[in-house]
Amino acid sequence: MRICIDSNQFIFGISGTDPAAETLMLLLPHLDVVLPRLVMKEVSRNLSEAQAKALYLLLSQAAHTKIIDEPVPADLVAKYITLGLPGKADAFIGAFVEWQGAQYLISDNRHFLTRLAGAPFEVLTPEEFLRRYYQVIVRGEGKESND
Amino acid sequence: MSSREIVWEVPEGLYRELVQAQQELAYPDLIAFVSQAVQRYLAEIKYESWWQDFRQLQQRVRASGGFRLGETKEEVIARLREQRREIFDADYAHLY
Repeated sequence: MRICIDSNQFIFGISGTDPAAETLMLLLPHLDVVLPRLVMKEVSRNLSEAQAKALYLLLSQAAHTKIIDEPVPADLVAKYITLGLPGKADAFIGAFVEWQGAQYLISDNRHFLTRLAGAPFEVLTPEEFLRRYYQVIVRGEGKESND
Repeated sequence: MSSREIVWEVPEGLYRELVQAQQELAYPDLIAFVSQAVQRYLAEIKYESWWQDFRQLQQRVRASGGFRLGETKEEVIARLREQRREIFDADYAHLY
């Protein structure tokens, strides 16, 4: 099961202000995660240089977490604008999730949660994701690829 | 997969415990049982180290005053969306 994690989850998880986001971060080594470089830039922007370095080091130790630099295909970004994400930056994230074949986007961004219809993936809050998959993940099955 | 033959001398008591556990857990042989036990232990050590490093990052962020992105969850998300737009406009907009 491949997932993409939005920047807000890193911020809530690292700050410890949201227990579900924090748990998601702690489970990261057990998950198959794809992250667009844009998300990493957003998170890094709010960290000091040393803190950002520590985060990148952590992510490099999660064997199944990949940071993707390649640009998302333009036609997919256009598709997500049509699907209900008028801002190109949000559409880029939606398009990225589909492009990478992720099953879920984990986010608390209500624009994703309420406006996105017709995408081949689901947008879940971390609470919902953990409610559905916590047991699967801790049994070590969270890194299995999509069926 | 390449492999290497090793000789592993263990105390008699430990050997008996290993064999008993292997049989109880229905592993086909002792090699399969020990291999999986070692793999699991290595994964646990790795995970523990991840957990500690993540907690350390949290402490460092807290010690430096936190993220200062807003008081409520909604404020933080709104500020992050602004930042996303800024980064996108600067680094990606020319592609779309």
